[in-house]
Amino acid sequence: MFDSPEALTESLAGEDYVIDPEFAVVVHLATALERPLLLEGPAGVGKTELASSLAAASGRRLVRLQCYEGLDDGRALYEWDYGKQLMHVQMLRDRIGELLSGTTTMAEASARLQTQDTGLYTEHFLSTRPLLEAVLSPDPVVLLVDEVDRTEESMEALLLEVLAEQQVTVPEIGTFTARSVPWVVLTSNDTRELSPALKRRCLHFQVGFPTPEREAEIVSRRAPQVAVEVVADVVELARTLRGFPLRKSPSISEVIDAARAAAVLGLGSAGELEKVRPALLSALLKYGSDRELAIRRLDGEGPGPQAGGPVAAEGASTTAGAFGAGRAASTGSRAAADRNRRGRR
Amino acid sequence: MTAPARDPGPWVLSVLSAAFTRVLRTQRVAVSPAEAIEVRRVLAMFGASDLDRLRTGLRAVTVAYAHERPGFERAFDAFFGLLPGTCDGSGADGPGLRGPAAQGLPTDLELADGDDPLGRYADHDPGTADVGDLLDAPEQEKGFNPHRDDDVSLGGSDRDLSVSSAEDRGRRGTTHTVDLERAGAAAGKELTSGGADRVSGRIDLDDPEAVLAMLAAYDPHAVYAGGPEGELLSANQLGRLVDAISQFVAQLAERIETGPGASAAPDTDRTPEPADMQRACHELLHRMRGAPRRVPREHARGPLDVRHTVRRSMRSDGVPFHLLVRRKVPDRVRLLVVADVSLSVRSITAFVLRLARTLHRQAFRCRVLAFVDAPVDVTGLLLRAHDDRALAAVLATPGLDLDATSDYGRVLGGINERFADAVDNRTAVLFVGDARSNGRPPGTDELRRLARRAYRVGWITPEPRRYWDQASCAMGEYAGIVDHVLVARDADELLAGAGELGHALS
Repeated sequence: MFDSPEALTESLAGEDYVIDPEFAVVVHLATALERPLLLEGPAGVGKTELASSLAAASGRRLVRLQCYEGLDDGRALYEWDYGKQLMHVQMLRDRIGELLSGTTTMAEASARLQTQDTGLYTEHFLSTRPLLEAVLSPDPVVLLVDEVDRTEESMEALLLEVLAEQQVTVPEIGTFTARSVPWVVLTSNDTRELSPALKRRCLHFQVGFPTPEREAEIVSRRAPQVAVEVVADVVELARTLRGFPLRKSPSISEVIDAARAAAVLGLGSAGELEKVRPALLSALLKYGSDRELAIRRLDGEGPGPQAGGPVAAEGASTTAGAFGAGRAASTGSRAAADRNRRGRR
Repeated sequence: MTAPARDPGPWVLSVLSAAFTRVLRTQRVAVSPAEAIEVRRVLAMFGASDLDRLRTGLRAVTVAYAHERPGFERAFDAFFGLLPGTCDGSGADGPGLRGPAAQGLPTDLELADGDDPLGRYADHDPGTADVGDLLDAPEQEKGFNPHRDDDVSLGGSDRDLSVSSAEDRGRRGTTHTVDLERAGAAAGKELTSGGADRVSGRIDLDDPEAVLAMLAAYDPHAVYAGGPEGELLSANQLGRLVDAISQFVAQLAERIETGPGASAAPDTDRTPEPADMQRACHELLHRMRGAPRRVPREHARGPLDVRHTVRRSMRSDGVPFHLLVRRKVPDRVRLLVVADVSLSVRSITAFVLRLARTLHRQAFRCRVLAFVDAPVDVTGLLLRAHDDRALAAVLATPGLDLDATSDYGRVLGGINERFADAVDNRTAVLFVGDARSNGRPPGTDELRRLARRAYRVGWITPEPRRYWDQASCAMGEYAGIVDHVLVARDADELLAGAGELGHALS
């Protein structure tokens, strides 16, 4: 499909997705070897976006499986459409009555019914879910298994058959092998260690935040109406923020939002960012405590923001999330914790 | 080893990937055979013309965990000869294996040849596959045949494989000789029809630019694609060859690591490297399960979940096709680490604090309390500190009186009163300390109260069992209350016991 990493980079650029050379090599490898690609990294670095851009660039359809806790095979693979089967049987009731009218004993009726194929367990009555859909699709697709770390380990085991053999077994019918080889992209926010079996079946790449130059390029492509100098300023602000121990670092999409906001607020040249910084911070930061900390550090130039650097800080923010020092014990109920986690993304 | 038998084409790559896989394993990168096949495909696809690209590709294929990455980089550097210290050090040294030659490391891999067609396939060593394979254009003019020779020559009259270092005639550096004579001779017999031709050749590595140019010109699809059939090595011989090569490379890597220009040695006893920490965490969390909770599931065991079943049956006109039951599922890990930071146990505490730091990334929830005579929550501090300064940051916590003597009774009481919210029936509590209260009441009842409220309680103590019953030590009493006691004096012992501890805490 793509002859070289360069060709891939170019096609993705056509979809406004700017990709690192190293990342491009890995993605190219995944498409060439037709192996699943496992992307790990903090939220908001463009893992999911890659899959949709890849689908658009290659002209494939994107089939998405959003993972969540409690996802079961009925939601991921397939489900028998009982309602449809029930209706089918009801509609056939007369015909069945006709068929069995000549019989005298129950055993005879049962035997006669068994010889008839009622067609209840065929593909027709199967509600396909993303994994089966990707396998059944006659045109090759890009299958995105998003946030695979949110499911339980049992769900990973179910993925293995699809990933390694590219087939799905439905006990009543048999095994569906892939009608076309899907490109599989799995993403993980690294909140949980994935099982070795799953990892071993995938190409693995750790996605990090892009360099400021690359991020500026991404923002300029996505928000072309914003002046270049303003983009550079916003990106620099985001980079500084990522250096703080925040609960949630600004993601790329939030930086794009902030750049748009800056344009709406009438910024046209470099160095004017200070005026609208509070407004931009509301686009970049989503927690009150983060905001306070950022304002304190930005105004006071407190100790250490530069020392951290984006890499160290990214780890810190992830851990801060997992840690939940402030909220962990106090919220107690699971629902509240889940709401928190959802908000964190 | 079966791959080359089926695919008579560029099987050099198969040997190469097998050797590389083995070197990776010596560097603690777990590579499965399936991944070795992937390695081969990547080699075939990218060749060695762009080492950065090759490195990225191979890394994506083989490295599954962050802690395996340094090992991979070491192996790749050793194997493909791009050592950081040797390349840009002195230009005359050239790339790859030439660098270490100054310290008496081998530059050539020479295999003395006998009457075995084995000798024809002289170029399966890592050094030559990225150097030797590429020689066909320049060397052809000198009558060089890439299928026949290289700096590697193989022979057939020695029992075992040996790698020896000897002075190279008139040339700088040394020669590595691998004798493959009679290695797998029985299998070799059937191949001897090729006749006895002694092969000896030599690569000139004196001109690094030329070698680099050859590397760049390497077309992995073309070089060996047209190799004549019937000249394949038997699986046995191939295996031995791979053995010899990986041995060679392992030695090379070993020397590179101990060499003067090398980066810090990976295994120093003082500070366990992050990879060890990662492994310990992985081991701990792999064995550890959170407290079970009930979730509604279909096709499982457990009591019927009436609410969900009825709800689901609405779809099919009230007929409950789907029976949902409440199945026990282990929850995510919630951990409370309570660490003694008094002098007596500080060495192990430092390690545990770093362990806790690493655990935060992976466990769902993790709080850390430090104490001498009263518990203090240091979670936030520990988070903000950098790796090496974790202990220092904790020690500097306000409210922590380092001069006090440890008082476990008071600490346990303090946890029950002030940190009651930190412990619930889903939290595993891990104590680190020697349980010596210096004559004060040990607070056994408090610990019992805590253990009742917590899901599991584990204890890490540096003192062996025989000291537990001393007058000032309450460990004997505590051991009856907590679920598991791990005796660990240093990081290594902790690593060894991590799995057991994790199992006990789940």
